[in-house]
Amino acid sequence: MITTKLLKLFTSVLLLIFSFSGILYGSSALEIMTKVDARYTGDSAISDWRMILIDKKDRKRIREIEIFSKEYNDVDKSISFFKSPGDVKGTSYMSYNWESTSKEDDSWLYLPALQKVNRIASADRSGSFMGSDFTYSDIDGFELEDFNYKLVKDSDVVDGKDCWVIESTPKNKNVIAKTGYLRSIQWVRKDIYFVVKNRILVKKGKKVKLFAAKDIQKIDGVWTAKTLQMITTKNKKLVHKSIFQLKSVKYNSNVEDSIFETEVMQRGL
Amino acid sequence: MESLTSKYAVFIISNRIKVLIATFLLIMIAIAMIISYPLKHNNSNEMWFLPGDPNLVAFEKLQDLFGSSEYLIVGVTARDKDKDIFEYETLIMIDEISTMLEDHEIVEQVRSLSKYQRTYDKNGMVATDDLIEDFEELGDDPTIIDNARNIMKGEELALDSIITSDLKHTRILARTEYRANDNSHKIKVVNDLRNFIKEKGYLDKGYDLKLGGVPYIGERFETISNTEFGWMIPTQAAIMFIILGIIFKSIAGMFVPWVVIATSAITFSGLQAFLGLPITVVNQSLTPITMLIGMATAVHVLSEFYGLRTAGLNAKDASVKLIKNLLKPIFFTCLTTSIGFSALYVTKLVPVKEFAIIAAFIPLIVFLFSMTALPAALSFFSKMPKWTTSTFKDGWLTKFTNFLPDFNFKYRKIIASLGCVLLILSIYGVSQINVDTNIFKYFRSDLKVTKDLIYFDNTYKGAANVEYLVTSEEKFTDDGLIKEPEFLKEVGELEKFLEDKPDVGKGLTVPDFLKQTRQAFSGDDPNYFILPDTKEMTAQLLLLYENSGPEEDLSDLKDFDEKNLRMTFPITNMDASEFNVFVRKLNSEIKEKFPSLNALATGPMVMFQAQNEYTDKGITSSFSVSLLLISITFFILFRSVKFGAIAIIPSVIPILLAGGIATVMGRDLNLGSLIVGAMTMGIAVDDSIHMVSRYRLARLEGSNVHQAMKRALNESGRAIITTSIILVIGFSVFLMASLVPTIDIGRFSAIIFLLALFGVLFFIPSILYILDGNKEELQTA
Repeated sequence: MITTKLLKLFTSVLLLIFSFSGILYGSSALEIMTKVDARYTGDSAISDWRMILIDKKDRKRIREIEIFSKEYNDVDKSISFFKSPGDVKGTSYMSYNWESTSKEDDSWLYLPALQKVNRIASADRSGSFMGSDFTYSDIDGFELEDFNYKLVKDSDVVDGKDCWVIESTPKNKNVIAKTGYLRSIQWVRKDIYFVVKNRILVKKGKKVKLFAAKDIQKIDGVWTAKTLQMITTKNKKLVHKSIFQLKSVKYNSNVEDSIFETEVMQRGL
Repeated sequence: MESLTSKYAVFIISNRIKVLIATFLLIMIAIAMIISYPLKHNNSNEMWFLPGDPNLVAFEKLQDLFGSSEYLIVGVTARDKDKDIFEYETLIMIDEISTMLEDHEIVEQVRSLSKYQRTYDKNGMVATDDLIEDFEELGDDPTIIDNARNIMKGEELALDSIITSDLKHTRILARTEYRANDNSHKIKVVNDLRNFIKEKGYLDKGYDLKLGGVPYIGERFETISNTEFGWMIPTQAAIMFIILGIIFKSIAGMFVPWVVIATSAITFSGLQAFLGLPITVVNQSLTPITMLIGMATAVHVLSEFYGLRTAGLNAKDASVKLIKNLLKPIFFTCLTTSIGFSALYVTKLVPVKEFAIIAAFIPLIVFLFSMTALPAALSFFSKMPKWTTSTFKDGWLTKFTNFLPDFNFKYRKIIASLGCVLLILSIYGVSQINVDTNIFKYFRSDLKVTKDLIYFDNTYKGAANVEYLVTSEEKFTDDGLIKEPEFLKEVGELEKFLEDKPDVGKGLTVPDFLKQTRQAFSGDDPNYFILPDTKEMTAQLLLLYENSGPEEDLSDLKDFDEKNLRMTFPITNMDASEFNVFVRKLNSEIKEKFPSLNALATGPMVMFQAQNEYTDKGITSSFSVSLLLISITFFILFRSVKFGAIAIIPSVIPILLAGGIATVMGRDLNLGSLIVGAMTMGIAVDDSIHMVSRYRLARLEGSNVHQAMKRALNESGRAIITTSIILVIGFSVFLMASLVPTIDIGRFSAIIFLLALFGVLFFIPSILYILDGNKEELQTA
C-alpha cells in the first residue's frame, strides 16, 4: 500500500489532496481539485528513486529504491527493493492498499539479515515515512471529501507557471488525527492541474512543512515530477529535509501480478 | 610630590565649575555608550569556558553531533488518593503538558507517557503503537488505562527512565533548543510552562508537579538573581542613607556620596557596553559593589571635609586641603581594590575574567570622581550644619576615637598577642578550607527548586545526566561504525558497567532500541532481546524501526553519519570535587576495560562541575596573586617593609579566618567566595592604608608615636568606622538572598569587614606602639 501510494506521490497523486470552494475561470476549487485527482497517473509503473535525507547541518544520507506498482480494481499493490546502501541492500517492502476503507491495508517487510518476512502493522498515518519528512499520509494521499477548500489567490507564479493558490482545512478531528495536518496552502498549476508547492501546518509540535515538486515532465503521457522535496521547519528554522529524485520511470510496462508475493521479497528480483 | 598634590588640589577647586561640567559630559558619553551598545544578558552554560577548553570542545562536539542535550523535566507524582499515575485525570494532564511542550517554539522533542510508543509483535505483525492511541476515548473506556498500566509494567526501556517501577512517578522530558551563549529561551519556556500549569489549575487538583533540568535551573538562577538585585540595591541604598544621616547629620552628607556612586555606576556601565561585555550572574554584583566602594571612599572625603570645616576652614579651603590629605591614600586604596579585582583574571572562567576587567576599573573610576567632582561639589557647601559641627566636636564617634589610643597603648601587648593567636588560627584555618560546591547548594534549601532537585535525585537516581559520547577510532574506521556488532556489544557492556555503579541510574541508548526491535521482529520472544549479529542486521533493524514511523527518531542517540553514539545516564548528586573524581575514575576504568572505545564524558552537568573546579582553583590563585601585588603596593606606598607588613597582616587575617570559620561551620567556599576573597582583599586593606598613611604623615611632621596615633585614629578612625558600618550592614542585606553564592558574599564580606575593622582599630595601633615607638616616647605616652 505504502509503496503504491509512494509512486502515486511521485507521479503527483500526493498533490491531489485538496480541493476548494470559490469560483475561478468557471471552476470551483472542488472542481479543480477533482480534475487534479482525476488526472491520469498510469496503470502500472517501474521506477528507480534516490531518497536524500538532509539534516539541519546539511549532512546527507542517501538511499536508492526500485519500486514496482500496479493498480487493480479493488487494490493498489506495490513492492520496493532497497538497492543501496550496501547494508540494507535486498531489504524489501510490500504493501496492498485496499480501496475499501473497511479493509485494513497490508504491509510486509523482508530483512535479508534475518532471512525473514514479517507482516507490518499499519502505522500511524501521520508518522514519518522511512525516516523522511514525508508522512504515510503524504504518500497515500488524502480523501478529497475530508477537507474544506478556499481559494486564496486566483493567480500566482511558481517556476514561471501560473497557479491557483488554495487553502484547505480538515473537516473534522478525525482527519486531523489521520493526516497530522491542521491546514495547508497549495499552489496548483493551471495548465496541467498539478500541485507544485504546498505549505502545511502540522499539528504535532507546530511545525511547518514546505513541499515542492520540480522538474516536471511528461513521461509516457503522464505528467511526472522528477524531484520532490519536503522541508520541515519549526519557528522558521530548518529541522530536516528530504528530497526524492526520480532516476527513471516506465509507465504501463508489463508488471507481472506474481511480483507482489512474499516469496519474491525473499528471492529478490 | 607634595607640591604636585597641592597644585592639583588648587587646580581642581579653582576650576570647580569646569570640573563639574566635564564630569557631566563624561556621564553623557557613558549614557550614549549604553544606548549605542545595549547591554545583553548571558547566563548560558558554555559562557564560562575559554575557547579551546577541553570541556567546551567536548560539549560543542556533543551539540554538533546530536543537537541539544538540554532537557526541561516535569515530574508527576500520583496523588495520595490514587493507586498510581494511571488515572484518567493524571493521564490527561500528562498529555496536555506534553502537547503544550511539544508545540512550544523552542522544544525539539518530548518524551513522556503520552508520547510513548512501543515496538512489539502484534498478532504476528511488527507494530509500533502509541501507549494510548486516543486520549479523547480515555474517559469512555476504562480498559484503555488498565491496558496501558499492564504494558508499562513490562517496558524495559521506560521503567526507571520515564516511569518508576512502582508506577507512582513519571516524568515528561522536553528537549529544548540549544542556543549558544543564550539563556532567554530557557526563561521563556519555563515561564510558559509555569503559566500553563497555573491556568490549567493542576495544583488545585492536588498535583505536586516538580520541575527540573538545565533550562529550569538556568531560569531560576537568572530570575532569582534579577529579582533579588531589584530589591537588594534599593534596600542597600536606603540603609546607607540612614547611616549617613546618623553619622553626618546633614543633608549634604546624605546626598553628596551619591554623586560618586551614580557617576561611577553609569561610567562603568558605559565602559561595559563599549567593551561589549554581557551582563552575567557574576558581574551582576558590580552595581552593589560600586555602591559600597563609592560609599566607602566618599565617606572618607566627607569625614575629612567636615573635620576640616569643624576645625574652622571655609568650604573652598577645606576642599583644597582634603584633596591634599587624601589624594595619596585614596589613590592607593582604590589601586589596591583594583588590584584585588584584577587578580580574578587569573581564573579560567570567562565571566570571572570579564568581571575582573570591569571591576578593576570601578575603584579607579571612583578615585577619579572622589578627587575631582566630589570635592568640587563640596566646595559649594559653605554652610556648616550645627548638628554636624557638634557631632564632629564631641559626638560618640569622636569620643570613641579619642578613647582608642590610650586603650590600645595600655593593652598593646595583650592585643598584639591576641592578634598573633588569630594569625596562627587563620593559618590553621586556611589548611582546613574546603573549596567545593554542587548545584543543590546554589539555592537556599527551603526553595522549591532545591526540593525539586532533591526529588529527581531520589526518584530517578540523579537530577542531572552525564552524557557519554562513544566512538572508536582504534578498531573501527569504516563508515557506519555504530552498526558493527562488535562495537555495539562493547557499548552494551559499557552500559551495563555504568548502570551497575551505585551512583549511576538507568541509561538510554541505541543498543536498547535495537534489542527491542529485534525482539519485536522475532515474535516478541524474550530470547531475542539481544543485539544484532551482523552489521547488515543492525542497518536493517534501524530501517525497520524508522519505517514503523515512530516519533522517537533516535537522532539524539546516534549521529547522522552513524559513527558516534550518545549514552545518557543520570548520576546522583554529589559535590563538585567528588563528582570530578568519580567521573575521572569512571573514565580511567572505561579506558582500561574497554580499550577500543573512545568514551568522552560531557554534558551540562560535567560542564557545571568543571566550572566549579575552575572556581576552586581560581580562589587560591587569585587570592595569592592579589596578596602578592597588594603587598608590593604597600611596600611601595610606605617605602618600608615593616610598615607594609604591619598594614597588610590585619587585612589578610580576617579573610583567612573567615574561610576557616566557614569550613568549621560546614560551609564550602564557592563562586561567591571567589569574588569575596578578591574584593575584600582589596577593600579591607583600604582601612589599613588610611590608618597607616595618616600615622606616617603625622610622624613625618614630627609627632611622636602616641601623638601620631591619636591623630590617625581621630582623623581616619571616624571614616574607617563609618565605612565599616556601612559595608557590614550593606553586605548583610545579601543575607536575605535566595542564591547561596549571594548569601555567601554577604556573610563573608560582613564578617571580614568587621574583623578588619577590629584589626585596624586595635591591632595596628598596638603593633605600632610596640614596633615603632622607642622607650622614651612610650614613657611620655
